[in-house]
Amino acid sequence: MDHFTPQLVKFAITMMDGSLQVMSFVTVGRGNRLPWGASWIDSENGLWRRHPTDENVRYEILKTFEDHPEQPQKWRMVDAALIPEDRTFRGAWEDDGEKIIHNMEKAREIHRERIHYARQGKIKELDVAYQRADEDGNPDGKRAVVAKKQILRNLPDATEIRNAKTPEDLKAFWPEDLLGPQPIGLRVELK
Amino acid sequence: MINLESTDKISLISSGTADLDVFASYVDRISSTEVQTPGRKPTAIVTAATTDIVLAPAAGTVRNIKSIVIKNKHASGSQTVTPQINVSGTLYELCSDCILLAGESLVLNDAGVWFHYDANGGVYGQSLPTASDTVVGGIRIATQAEQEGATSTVIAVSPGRQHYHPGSTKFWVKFAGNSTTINASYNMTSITDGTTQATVTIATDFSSADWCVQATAVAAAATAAGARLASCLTMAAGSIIVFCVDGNATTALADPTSWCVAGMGDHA
Repeated sequence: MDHFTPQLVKFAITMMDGSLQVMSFVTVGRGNRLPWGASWIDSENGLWRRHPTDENVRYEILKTFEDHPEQPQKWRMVDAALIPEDRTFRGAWEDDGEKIIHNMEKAREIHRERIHYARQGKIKELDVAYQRADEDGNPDGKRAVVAKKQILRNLPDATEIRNAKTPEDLKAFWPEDLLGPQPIGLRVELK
Repeated sequence: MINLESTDKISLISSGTADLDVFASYVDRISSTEVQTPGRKPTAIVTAATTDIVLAPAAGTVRNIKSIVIKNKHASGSQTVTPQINVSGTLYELCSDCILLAGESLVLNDAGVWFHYDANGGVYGQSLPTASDTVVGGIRIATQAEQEGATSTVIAVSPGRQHYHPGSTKFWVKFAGNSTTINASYNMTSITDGTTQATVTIATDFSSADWCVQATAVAAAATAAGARLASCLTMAAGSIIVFCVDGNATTALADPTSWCVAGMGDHA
């Protein structure tokens, strides 16, 4: 049999905690037994079809989240083309009923956490630099280190973050000279 | 075929009193002239006896037996019959003892093969020995339970049941790291993308949450930052949550380029 790629439709699932899950619901799949709600297209080659009816979708969602730490609240079918490709602020995605948007308050918090995460190592480096300056009897050096550390501490409260209206605004604020390279779009911070 | 000379005849040993009708057909060939003459001999047997059913031909003649039909026409009684050939006074059995139930027949065809027919005209089948490593014979199909037991070496596996073997993978899927595309799959019904994890939902569940998952996260690059280390969470009979971290000294959750997830265990 030729290579088989399953066919899908997408569902945006809003969870009880407000987060968003996106389900790729298989409508044409392959297997040796029929999934719930499916019928054979070609039983000899194990190809089945399952229509995304309310009943079938509900069954699939309840089965998926049966032992999940979070539970679904509501869901709807969405156009795959309207799902954001940039996952930099994936944790801020929400479904407003028409499209998948970024909750900017969540996005700002994610950005602040990334700054916290990135600056930890930098502050440790500055601690070492301060120690050296102190051992060298270099008060100017020490003052410079203190100033840099204060800038790093103030970064999460920057007005650029408070005033950011879009994910691009947030991504534009990343002092690379202080923090190092910004995390790439697929990266999510460790909690 | 059976050929009789002038010193030969065929007789039938019958064991009981159930009525037997016997009909023999033959062609006589005179050896000197090659002239051939067909012939037949009906015989009715109602006792336990040895009865001649094909007589010896005349001198210089070869009697070629075309067919012999032995029918138990009794309504209920059975007969054990044994055809035999008498060659110059020495007896030779032509086939095994055959128990003819009421309405059954024993037939010799032109090729010299005996068939035992039941009362409905069906031919009694040969009993094949069970095939093994050293014996050629019959083989049957393994059931689901036998496939799950995975011990027999004398029954065959069919394509629709091979997956029940405990060593067989029950589902697999490859999907994009951002969970937008399923590249290929078997026996699964959905991928659900979460903030830091993906949930794979299986079509045919396992019998419990105790099954073996194999998950690999395809790396973005052959570097610590590009490496992706797969983990799983919350195994259920019908689903599994997977997530991964990068390979940096201080790891962080990260999407892989793609996921490969498979499972082995006992199907429900």
